[in-house]
Amino acid sequence: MIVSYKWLQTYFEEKLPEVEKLEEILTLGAFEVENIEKVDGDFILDIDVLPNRAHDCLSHIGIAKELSVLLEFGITYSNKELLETSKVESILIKNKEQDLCRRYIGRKIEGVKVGPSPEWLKERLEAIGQKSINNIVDATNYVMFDIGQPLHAFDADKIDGGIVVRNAKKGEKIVTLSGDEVELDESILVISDEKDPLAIAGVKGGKKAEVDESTSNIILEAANFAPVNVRKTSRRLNILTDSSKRFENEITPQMAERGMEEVSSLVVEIAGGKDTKVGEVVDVYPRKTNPYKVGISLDEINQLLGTQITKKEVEGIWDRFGFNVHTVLPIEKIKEIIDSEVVLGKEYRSGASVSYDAPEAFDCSSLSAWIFKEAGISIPRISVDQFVFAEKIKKKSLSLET
Amino acid sequence: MDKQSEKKGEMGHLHPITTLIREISDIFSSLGFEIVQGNEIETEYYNFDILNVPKDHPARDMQDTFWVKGLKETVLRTQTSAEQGHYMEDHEPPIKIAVPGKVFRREATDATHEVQFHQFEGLVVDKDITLAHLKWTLELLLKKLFGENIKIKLRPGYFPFVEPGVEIDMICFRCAGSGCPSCKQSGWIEILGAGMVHPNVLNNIGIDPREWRGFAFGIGIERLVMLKYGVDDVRTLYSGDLRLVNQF
Repeated sequence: MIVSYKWLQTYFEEKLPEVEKLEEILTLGAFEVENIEKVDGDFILDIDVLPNRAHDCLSHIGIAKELSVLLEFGITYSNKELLETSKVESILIKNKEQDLCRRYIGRKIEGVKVGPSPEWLKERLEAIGQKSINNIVDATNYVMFDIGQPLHAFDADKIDGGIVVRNAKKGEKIVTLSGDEVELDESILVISDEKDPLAIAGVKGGKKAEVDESTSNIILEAANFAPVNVRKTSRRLNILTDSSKRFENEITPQMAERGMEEVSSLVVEIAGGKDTKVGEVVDVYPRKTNPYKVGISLDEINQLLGTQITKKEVEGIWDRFGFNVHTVLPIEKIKEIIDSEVVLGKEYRSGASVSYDAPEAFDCSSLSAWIFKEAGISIPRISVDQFVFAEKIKKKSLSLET
Repeated sequence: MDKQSEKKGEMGHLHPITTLIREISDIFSSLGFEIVQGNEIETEYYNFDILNVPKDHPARDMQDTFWVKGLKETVLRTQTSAEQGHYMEDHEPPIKIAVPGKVFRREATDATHEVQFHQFEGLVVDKDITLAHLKWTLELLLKKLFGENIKIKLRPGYFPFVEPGVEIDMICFRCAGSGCPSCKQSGWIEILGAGMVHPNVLNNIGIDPREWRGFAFGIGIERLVMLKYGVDDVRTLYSGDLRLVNQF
């Protein structure tokens, strides 16, 4: 991950340590810094983000969060106001592959002026080795390198009908933005209009709806694609992009929403005028993920590491990472959930998922898995695994009363 | 060569890689580790799956693999860690093994990379094992090899079969930390990867991770040989060049 020191600094009010010191702090506490290059007034760090953290650290904000934890600096987020929307011609989005495209947010913006990016934006992108193309494309790239959500912009007037997320047909062809003709098949997910593929989903955009100087109406895309499919497609076609790299490491569908807000604001800021009209977001999100709780006990941490880390330190670290931290006594918490009857009357659905369906629908084993998870304990999802996992107890202990 | 030795045939001697493997084996034996040999041809399951590296996981990119033609899901092992699963399936914990052996990676060769090299794997599974035990063990090993004055530091690393994973750096024994060509001016040398055995690995084998914990490490032998004897290019270790071999 190529990171600009100046860009990182924008997240902090306090001054970051000198770059050599920063390198040491990152290397000892987070990731190895493989190289540092001085580029007019900035330092460019090549940070080796390994696969276990690629889902949240292939972005400036990801690295800034690590620094916030290590330096005990608070992060300042730019709190942009939500854009005012107006009525625009509506867009139709059809998602035919809900397992492969977990979320698709589209938004139309009418009356943009495509041109060169402002200097600050060019500078930021060029510092990290990216070529500035035009203000719209640069905005999508900038937000990706900032927060880690890949984005795409289509020229709305070059699209025939609505947007369809589907598998390609055998022999179907697409000319990519870099001008290469690529032959597709059924294993490849594409974003298409009623006629042709517009992009290889999560991997690369196509020529047909390319944004250029003549573009005035655009559709912005913030989507989430299944990691294994993106990985297989990009390996098969031998097209590795910044976008495919992020999707194949599985980013959360939650991010798409934020990506769309950020990129829309930026587009309006740098390509908008008095006639610019921002449409409502169209959010196709068939299976919402629920917030997930993880728990760990202080004893577990210290027994594993042979340390004497205090509760305060652990809470501080989690807090700076941006987690919502609570202390729970697991047994008490489980009793509390059961006593509160929150799950009473909820739907029984065989095969209900803990991360998607709870707490609205359960089957027997997902109910126990969910209750334990709420108390910070992760147990297997399937009853036979729960049987293997659990300890045998005496019949008379079969009660929560003690 | 004088006449007498020509007549008797000259005594051969060990390659520096063999010497070092034996030296490390002796150190681990004296600490009570069992020295185990694994298979060089390994199934995908033992090389990856059981070690918490699922198919199509980006972590597989970290190790380019030789697949054996004509045999289903069979690889030349990319890591001596492949022996972990075999041993743990056949033995009840507590476990304390060291596994020296050859491993293979499908990558371009250069001064520090070869398609074939040697690793020294270590695995300990017992009750109440902590990261501190890992640190002590490896510090002891490096002191025995490089002298009492060496220092090490641990920094975050990632190997799918451990959590947390660490990279261990040793203070450069040539310049003692002031920076020299051996350590690329950093004062430290990256020497091995290690970590606490991931509960998923124990679960995969049927060992209860609430009862047992462990640590594992992998040492690159060629790297140690190069450091210890000042060899610049790993490829010379395999060239069969007597000008190199006869120095040992």
